[in-house]
Amino acid sequence: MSEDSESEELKEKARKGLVYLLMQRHSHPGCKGWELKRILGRNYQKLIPLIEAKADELGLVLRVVTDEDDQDIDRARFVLVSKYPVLDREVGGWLRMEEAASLAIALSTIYTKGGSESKEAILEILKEKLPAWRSEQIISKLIRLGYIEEDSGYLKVGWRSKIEIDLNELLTAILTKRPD
Amino acid sequence: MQRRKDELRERIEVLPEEVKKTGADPFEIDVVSILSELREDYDKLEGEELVKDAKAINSVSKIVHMQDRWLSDKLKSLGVSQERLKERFYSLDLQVLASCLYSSQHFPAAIRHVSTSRLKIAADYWISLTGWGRSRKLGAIPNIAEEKLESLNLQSDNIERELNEVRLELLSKLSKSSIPYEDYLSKKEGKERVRLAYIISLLCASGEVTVRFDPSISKHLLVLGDGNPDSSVAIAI
Repeated sequence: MSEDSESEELKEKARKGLVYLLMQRHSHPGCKGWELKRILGRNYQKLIPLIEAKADELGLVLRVVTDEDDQDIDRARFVLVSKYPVLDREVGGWLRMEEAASLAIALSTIYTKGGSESKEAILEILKEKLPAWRSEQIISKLIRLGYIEEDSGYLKVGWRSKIEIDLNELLTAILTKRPD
Repeated sequence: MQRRKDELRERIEVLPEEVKKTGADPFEIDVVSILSELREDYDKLEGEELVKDAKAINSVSKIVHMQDRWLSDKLKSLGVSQERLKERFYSLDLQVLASCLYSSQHFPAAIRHVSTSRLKIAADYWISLTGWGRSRKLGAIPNIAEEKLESLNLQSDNIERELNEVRLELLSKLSKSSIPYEDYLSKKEGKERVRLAYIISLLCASGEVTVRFDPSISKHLLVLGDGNPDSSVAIAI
């Protein structure tokens, strides 16, 4: 195979991979590594930089999220996300204002505590800002949406937050933002 | 001279790997002086030398990226005190905290597609809603043979009159409390019962009355409507 036709084939595969990543087939966005393997072939990981370059042209970034206990790339989740935060709330978002604020509190607490914090401790902080019943309702909703995971009374960063939220940016914003 | 520069570029190329391997502080590498040294002979480079230069520049960009990561890791490992963080939570209002989240949130991009057959089902359903339920008017009486309507006494004039009577009576009763649907119908028998059930369905379609199931008594209750017409009303006789 000539170099040109090989390069064309790679480009074609990258385009196919990008389209596959963009089309939502499940309730969760993106796809698993093994799905890309099935579509693009065994060496799909070599195509990732090409897919990333194509996604970049669209203002998107490819995020690869592996399970904490399972670093197998075939079982990792591949998702395209917007390169820059979407600050216009009209564009999208699942969360109401107080839910977004609660998520900011929960994630930054979990992050600075090294990856997990007891549900009670987080609820205690939230109850300073919101009624107790609403705090519990919000935490349940955030768990249901995949933003937070619950494990034996402890809360961890959920798969959706790993994809959507840049925890460093979040912490910096909380520490530097001026009160209105 | 050129030989020395070539070696320099080769050494720069492997720098990111070495920093990663040894865990050294990436800020120990003087990026500015490396860049100025690379710039010195850039105009004279040709062929393979340009490739080496590009690789070296690529490595420098990796080092800069590592410096960025190093800073954020340091920020994390320095440990933001929980007390300081809590202070921030209490001093910032919910709106500001929410805006902190928004400024770090990168939404997933996904295209949802609807198949043609599903679109057709949706269109059919939508069309079916445009009569009953969509309009606050009662709409036309269904096209049933005139003889059958006569035998049930369901001609429009009779229905209009009876509808007004039932409406006034029912609204006055419902303003005090809800009434079990079955109990309300039980006062009529046969054709009269069918007619009353039909009239109730018309009132539900107008939004003035609605039917709710009360699980505590396992009965359907007639209650005052909120003005929103029910899109479909089953007649239970």
